[in-house]
Amino acid sequence: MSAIAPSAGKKASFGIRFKRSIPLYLMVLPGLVYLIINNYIPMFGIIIAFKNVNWRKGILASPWAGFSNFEYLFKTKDAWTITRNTLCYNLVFIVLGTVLAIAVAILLNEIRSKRLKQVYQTVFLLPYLISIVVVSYLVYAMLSIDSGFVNRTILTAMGKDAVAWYTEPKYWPFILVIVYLWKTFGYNSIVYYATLMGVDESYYEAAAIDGANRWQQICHVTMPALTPTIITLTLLSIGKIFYSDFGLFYQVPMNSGPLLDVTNTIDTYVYRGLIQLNDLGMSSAAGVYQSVVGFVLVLTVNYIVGRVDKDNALF
Amino acid sequence: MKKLLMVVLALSLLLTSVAGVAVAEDLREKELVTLDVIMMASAGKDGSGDVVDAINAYLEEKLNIHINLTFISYGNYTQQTNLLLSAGEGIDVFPVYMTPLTTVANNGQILPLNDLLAEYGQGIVEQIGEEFLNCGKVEDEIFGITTGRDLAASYGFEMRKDICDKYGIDYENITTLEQLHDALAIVHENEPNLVCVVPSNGELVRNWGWDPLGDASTPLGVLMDMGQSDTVVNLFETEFYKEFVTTMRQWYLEGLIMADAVSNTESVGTMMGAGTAFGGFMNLKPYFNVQETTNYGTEIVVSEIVPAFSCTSNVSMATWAISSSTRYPEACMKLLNLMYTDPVLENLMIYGIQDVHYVVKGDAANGQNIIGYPEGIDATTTTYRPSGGWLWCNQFIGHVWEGNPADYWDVTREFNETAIKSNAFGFTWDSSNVRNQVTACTNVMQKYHQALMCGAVDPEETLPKFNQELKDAGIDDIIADKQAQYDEWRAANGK
Repeated sequence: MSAIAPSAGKKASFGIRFKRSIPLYLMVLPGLVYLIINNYIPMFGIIIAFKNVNWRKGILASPWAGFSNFEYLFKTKDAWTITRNTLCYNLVFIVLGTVLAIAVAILLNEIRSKRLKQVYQTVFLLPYLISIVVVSYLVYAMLSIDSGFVNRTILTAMGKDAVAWYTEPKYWPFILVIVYLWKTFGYNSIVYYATLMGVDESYYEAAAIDGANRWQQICHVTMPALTPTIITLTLLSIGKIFYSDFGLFYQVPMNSGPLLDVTNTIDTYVYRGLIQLNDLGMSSAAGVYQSVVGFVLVLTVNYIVGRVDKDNALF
Repeated sequence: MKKLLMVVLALSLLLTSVAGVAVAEDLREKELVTLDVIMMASAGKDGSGDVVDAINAYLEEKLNIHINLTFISYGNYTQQTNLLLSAGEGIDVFPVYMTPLTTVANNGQILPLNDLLAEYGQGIVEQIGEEFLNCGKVEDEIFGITTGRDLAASYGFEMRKDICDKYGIDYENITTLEQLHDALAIVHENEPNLVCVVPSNGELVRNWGWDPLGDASTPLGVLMDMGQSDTVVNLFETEFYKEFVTTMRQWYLEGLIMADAVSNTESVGTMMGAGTAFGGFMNLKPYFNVQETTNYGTEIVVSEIVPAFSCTSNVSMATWAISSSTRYPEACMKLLNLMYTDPVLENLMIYGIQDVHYVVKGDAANGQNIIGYPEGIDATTTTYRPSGGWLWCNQFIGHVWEGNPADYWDVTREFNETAIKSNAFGFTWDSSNVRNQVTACTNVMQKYHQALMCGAVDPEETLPKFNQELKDAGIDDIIADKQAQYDEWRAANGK
């Protein structure tokens, strides 16, 4: 992305530059206020993770707990399982999700009929708008032992035995990935498609004149145009790599115990473990842990991107 | 010396009774106080406005107190009360339910009640009794007051009477799992489309005769044999547990238990009502079948298999408490005291307004009435909900719903008093020493326990894995901590 430079050759003084930019600052203001209220002020709450909270004394007067609230996240054997699940699922989601979304965006871009384009966009977006609880019952309608579509129709037709889907962990990494992709590809592809709409037609015309075929046009015009968006979206996803979609991992497997080895993530583990203890300090500790790791990862990846290609780094 | 003591005692008695009279006279608040009362209700009904007006008119005269009554549905109750407590406003008096009392007390979200009870709550002490009151203790302070309800439970099986009659099942004489199995096998053979045993929400049975020494749904370290032993053991390593889950596995393979057991989100009641299921395991109490029949519209009968016994968790699972954010602790206790002792107030709260929400149909043994819906109104059309009375303070002093015997509350009181008591009755475990182990073990338990209980997985293969993971997660620390606290409690209470 090329920097937007002022047309004047001489550098104006700060005062003049500020005055000239007042409308821009005003436009930033609402977003800034929102960020401060919604994202910065609550950061004060980080201290909850280091306290043994007693409501009667209040947060500030509660005794300090050091790092003891964090212990449960690392001490047990499950710590490895949940970290692995959270990270690996998210990595797969990022890679496959991006590839699928871009592929769909490019295909959308190739469609010439405006009507069809709109129909496709709406259909693609639909799963994204369905509540995850509804999705979990759609999946259940497919996978139920007695009455599920897969067991009753597909497997019977193939002459195979019914599968007890909700007690067989080995299938779930695939099921979860499929459900995730089905649910989110539409939204992401529309973001990419929006970028593509901004690409000037003349690039394609020039490429065509130079004798580039469709595939070459995609490789040499479309992809470079998409790169900044891909990097931004991927960086944002990496910042959330230690968070998991609670609904996807808790509701979709119907909270089935035997599947926990492959469906328990940091969020669901914290929920399951603390639903009895109801300990504010420990649940905040999980949140702080996730944010700090996410923050460090974003800085690292951004630094790497900056080293490779300075223009594409976020900051 | 003895005489002197007697005189002093007599004098002090006299003094307290005089004081009692004096207090009774100026119980009314000087200025009108408004308190926020929170209550759980399974569905919102819009007639509560009139009921609250009636309650307030009555309370104003008695205590110069008004209440705002907020109903929160079952599914949101834990979360919303927690939010209200965190916000520190909009909540004064409420029942602690589904969140362990120790948790709320240790978080400092509710007030210790010893002094308040001594000063304004003597009516409560009289109604509930010291023994049950002590189950609401965390360390030495009472934090929650249990409600007047069934405070023990027997365990067994509930089922549809029409099916039982059709196949001549003698449900009254089923007392063992083997007998139950034979009955279920008959049903399964003749009604292949009927689900014989439904695990409600994936949980087959919550308790089968052990004292969980804490929250009933996380039995980490228990006393076996209805709490008649004093050694805390790992439930999942006992022969008893192994035998139970092996039996259930066999039932599951025979097709008696719902195939989708672990992912089931229906309750047995709804499925029996819809005619798709035969029955399921249940916690029982006197005339439970009457309650279930009213709720599901098909006649329900029960077989008792584990006889009634009582442990702390039966009592402390639902207790009324005062939020630590309240500005009027005394007024709260006065209100609670009236809710536990005044039939007029309690009837208003539980059943609504006479001749609007219910009509009198006869006399009950406690001097109140047997009541039912007015003509043309039923459970679905009433504007004030008459069920859920057990979570209100004290249904023992109020009306009896029709279908139950006139002496229903006496029977229930007797049930509470005659049930076998666990040795640890009154003991409450504080989990704060082993928070990490509890978090880890709870997760392990969720992975295996329900699935094993439903017979959905093979115990031969799964049970050893389960126990190994529990060991790794530190269940031994939990058991040792429970045992230590229990021994200390026993020594302190001379047991």
